[in-house]
Amino acid sequence: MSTEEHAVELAGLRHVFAGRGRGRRAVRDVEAVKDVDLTVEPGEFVSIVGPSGCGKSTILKMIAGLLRPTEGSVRVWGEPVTGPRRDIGIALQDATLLPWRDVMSNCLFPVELHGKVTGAARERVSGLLERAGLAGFESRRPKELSGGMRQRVAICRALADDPRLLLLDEPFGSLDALTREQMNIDLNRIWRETEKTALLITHGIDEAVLLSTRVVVLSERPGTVVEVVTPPFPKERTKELMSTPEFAEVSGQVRDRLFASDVKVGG
Amino acid sequence: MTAAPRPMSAGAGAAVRWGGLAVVTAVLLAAWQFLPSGVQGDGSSVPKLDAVVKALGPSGEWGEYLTALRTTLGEAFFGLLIGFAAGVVLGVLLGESRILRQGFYPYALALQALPPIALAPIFVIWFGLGMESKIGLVGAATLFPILVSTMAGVAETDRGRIEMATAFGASKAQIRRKIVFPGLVVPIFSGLEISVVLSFLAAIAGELISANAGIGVILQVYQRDFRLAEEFAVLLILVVVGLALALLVRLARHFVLERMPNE
Ligand SMILES: Nc1ncnc2c1ncn2[C@@H]1O[C@H](COP(=O)(O)OP(=O)(O)OP(=O)(O)O)[C@@H](O)[C@H]1O
Ligand SMILES: [Mg+2]
Repeated sequence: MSTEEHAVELAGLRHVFAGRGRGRRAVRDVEAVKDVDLTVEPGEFVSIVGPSGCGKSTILKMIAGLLRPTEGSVRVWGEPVTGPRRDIGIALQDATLLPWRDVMSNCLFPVELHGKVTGAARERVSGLLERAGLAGFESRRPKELSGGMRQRVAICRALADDPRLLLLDEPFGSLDALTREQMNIDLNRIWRETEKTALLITHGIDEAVLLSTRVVVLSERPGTVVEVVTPPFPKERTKELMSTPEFAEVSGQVRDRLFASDVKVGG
Repeated sequence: MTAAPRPMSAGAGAAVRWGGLAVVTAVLLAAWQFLPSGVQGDGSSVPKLDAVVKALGPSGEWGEYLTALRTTLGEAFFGLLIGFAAGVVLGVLLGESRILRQGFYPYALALQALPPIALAPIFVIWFGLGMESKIGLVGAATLFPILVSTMAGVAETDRGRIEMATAFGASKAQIRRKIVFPGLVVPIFSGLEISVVLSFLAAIAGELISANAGIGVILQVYQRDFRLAEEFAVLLILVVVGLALALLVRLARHFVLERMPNE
């Protein structure tokens, strides 16, 4: 791979959900995102924040190859995206674990799809589970876990086949503030230790600033990039960082931009 | 999918459940034995409890009961096997193909509106007085609940799971095998719980119409001979067997869900 290769490259991206039906019950076309230009460099942790319904998930799904752009192009590691890729790991808002599988085999799911379940893969997943604080839970079923533990399993699953790019769509949306903070610190550590490139969608401004090397702010629907904020912190992030004036300043910057058009943030 | 919540401690729950049941049962049995019975006043319209107990005791017609029960259960079992297999296969097909579903489902609904007992004479004409006609009848009666729950299970597969698997690069076949099919275990068991009871009912209904062996036949014989104590004894046996069958399905469901392979 060449060094100037981007991890993700979005150019002039637009997506319109086609309407259907006629008359009173017709559903109109929805332009979810437009003119999105964004590049993510290898090793970066980029967060996307924006008002509810502005097209954040739509962008993520186009990168994941689940949706086709109406206009513009999506490239991952320099290649145009034509469908799901094996070198992308994804965790969506709901953990969507398979209830009949235990934790280990839920994590191995992508590896299994790619036909690569080996002793080495199991060991890697064990290592991930340990790092995520789930050691000893390998043979539990999802219903025996707390919500936060399930989210962590989903993140381990996203990382299981050693993807180069990690896509996370509000993985901590349903957690309480305290658990969420702990998960953020965990995620930062996992990101540093595994040296992945990560793209996170979130409603949490502090979460975005705490985790990211860059924070991308989107406008209201149709979403487009209105600001990119670069938190000037070292890679390792701590809880203490959140109470520094520098952190408050960066958060304020993001918040101001988000609320510039009197836009509400929230699920 | 998840076990029913238990608000009380297991011990307290069991005490309430079984305690209540024991009290009600004792009152019912006492009433049966000691209340004056029978509109005709000759004691024959409802046999006394002790007469029924005697019919169920060592001097009862156990040979007859058991032979009949074996025939009926055999019919129910083989009929259910057919209904189950056909129900699952058709349910998967109709669940996966919208065209098939729209074409065939109205027919399935229409057939289901026919009570099994009304079909019994036809099956006797087709398959004779033996077990075969009852097996066919049971198959027809048990197919529908399994078909419907399987079909719903396929059609209502969690979108999020399919999206997740797709994002990880799953093929259509992999989604079917690893997401859709394992998700059918729960709905199929719901259908089976209904069909097991139906299988027993349909077998006996068929025997009451026309048969040469089985519970339905001895019920008719006892009725004809006014052997009401034996008649009640058989009814009690039916209750116990019906409950045992339902319990068996629950156990099987629990067993299967606990032991589903990790793939
Ligand atoms: N499958 C779909 N069909 C039609 N419209 C859709 C579909 N999915 C999303 N939309 C519309 O596209 C817009 C953007 O949706 P998207 O899910 O990307 O928003 P989001 O930014 O992720 O919102 P949230 O923060 O609430 O998750 C919304 O207005 C939504 O109504
Ligand atoms: Mg979203």
